[in-house]
Amino acid sequence: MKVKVRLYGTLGKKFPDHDPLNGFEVEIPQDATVGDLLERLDIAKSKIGIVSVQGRLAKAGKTLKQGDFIRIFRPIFGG
Amino acid sequence: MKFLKIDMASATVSSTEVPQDYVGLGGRGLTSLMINSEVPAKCDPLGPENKLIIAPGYLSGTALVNSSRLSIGAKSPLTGGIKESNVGGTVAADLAHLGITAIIVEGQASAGTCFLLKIDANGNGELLDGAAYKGMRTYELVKKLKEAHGEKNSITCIGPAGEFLLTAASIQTTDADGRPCRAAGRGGLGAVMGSKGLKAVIVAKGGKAAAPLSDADTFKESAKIYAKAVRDDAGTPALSELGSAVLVAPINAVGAFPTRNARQGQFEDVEKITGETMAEIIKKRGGKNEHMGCAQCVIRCSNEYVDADGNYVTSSLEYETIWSMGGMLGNSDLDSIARLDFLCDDIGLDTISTGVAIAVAMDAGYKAFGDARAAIEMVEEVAKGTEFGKIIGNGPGAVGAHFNHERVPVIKNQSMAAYDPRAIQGMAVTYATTPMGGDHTAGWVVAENLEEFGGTLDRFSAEGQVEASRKSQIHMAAVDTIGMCDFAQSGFGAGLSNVCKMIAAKSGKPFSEEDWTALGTRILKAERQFNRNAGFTNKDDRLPRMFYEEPLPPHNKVVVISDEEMDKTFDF
Repeated sequence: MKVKVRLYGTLGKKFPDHDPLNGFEVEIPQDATVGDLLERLDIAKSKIGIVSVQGRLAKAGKTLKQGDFIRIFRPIFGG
Repeated sequence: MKFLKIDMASATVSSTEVPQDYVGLGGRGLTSLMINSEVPAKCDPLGPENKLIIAPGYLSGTALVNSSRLSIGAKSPLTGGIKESNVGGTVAADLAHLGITAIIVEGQASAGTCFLLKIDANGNGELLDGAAYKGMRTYELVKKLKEAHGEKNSITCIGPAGEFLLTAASIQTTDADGRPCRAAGRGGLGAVMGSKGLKAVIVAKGGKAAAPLSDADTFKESAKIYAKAVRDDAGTPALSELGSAVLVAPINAVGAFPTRNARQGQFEDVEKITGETMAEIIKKRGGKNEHMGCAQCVIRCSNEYVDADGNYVTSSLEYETIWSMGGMLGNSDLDSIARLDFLCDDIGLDTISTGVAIAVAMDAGYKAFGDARAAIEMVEEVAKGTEFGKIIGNGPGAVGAHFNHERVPVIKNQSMAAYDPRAIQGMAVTYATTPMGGDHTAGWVVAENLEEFGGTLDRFSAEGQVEASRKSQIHMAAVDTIGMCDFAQSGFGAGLSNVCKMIAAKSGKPFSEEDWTALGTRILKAERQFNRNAGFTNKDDRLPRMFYEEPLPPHNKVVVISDEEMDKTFDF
């Protein structure tokens, strides 16, 4: 199934077809979870701050649906 | 190393050795301990008994990366309590390179007079007549002072807001490119500087009189380790490319982005003002990202924002300003946000307090949320010195009183910052209890509160929040004492002991991790003591009612930290 993924901060840089403002589409198996998606995208765990699905924060075990919009943010620090 | 004492009444400058009590201190440690010892807590902050203390950090002037942070301390005319306002640029490094540990501005110039303090390449200070510069906005002021005194200076100054003694007035300082765009924004210290009759401090660059290091080799080694940890940190590239604006998208995603005077925690138009969007606009228009704003910086989080024709608008456009002039006003137009940032720098106003002041005015029905032009007009009124301009320039508390409006998000009369406490309970503790008033950097516990990936606290629960805020406040008081940039705290990833080694290598005295905690604790105790003597009680360590009573969409929570728990924060 296809989901839309938007990577924030500099997470998207290693994907040539990732549009920094619109993200990209990713093909994942039916019933894949957020954790599966992150593995598929091979983003190191330490680089992930928070993940939201359809605008709500999600944990690794959340199952994804066709057409879900997932945003992935890096860890944050700052002021 | 020396103190420069500036007696504004007699217009004289004297220099003394650093008194024994203050040896080994810098930055906030120095300013807060001195203010607590030497300023009568009940004095008029705009009167002659207040002191304005300008101090580079203890490690400023060394080769350590990102160490050019300046602390400015005084009794705040905004909060009525102690204040340390912190700023980058180059001046902290410049002062430390001249062998100056602190500038202490005392007394008050006679009415109507206005002075410049010039510190030359030998570290000698002189007060010069500033009459020609009275009323000048900061960009014009810096241009004229460069013509008169040369390029090789940093300039730390006030704009018209400080001269009007407005309590949201900032002290601006020049960045590495010489623009007065770095701000010691919080707490109205621009008004204190104005009340003393001091318009600008001109500091010669390139001094060679920095304090000698007791053990230069050990220092060098530890500084290298620190710098590597900053460079290697996963967060540094994002800060570099997107600036502090990297925070807009995630804080909005967690529902903690106070929108329309904190009526909501998410802004539906946030995509127009994220760091990602800003970086793209800047790139397309030929502005600058990865800009170095401060001396010895290896992160380069600054930017130069330009308009559609490629002309300079402002530098650096930060998360807090994008919030205060954007989400907080329901304004999604980045160009107007950039313009408001410039106006505040030019007039000498805290962008956080000013944005929130405008938000309260909009919430009271004065103008509509999202009316960017009205926001710009309100800020321009401050410079004109109109009655309403003065109200805006005195911050959200004054605006709320003027309109008799209840929803005023201030603590100790200083506005909140870009994290809603109902969505991040740890920030409720920090805002309420820091001696500084509504202040986010005093104890930034945001990352620890994001449990989903990495943080250990549930951000909607009171559990662990008091401990987290206390620890962070103690740590930050020590960070602010050594003059280290907040964003370069990634260097602590190489170990607190490595930082302690540098302190010991400079001072020649042992300094352990226990000493670090003791230092932060000592500073907070002094600040709390000053506030108590100024008349503060635990009733002042509370948030406005709106945060306890109004659930914040989308998660619909309120602050759940009890009064008893708040009072446990400083159980030392």
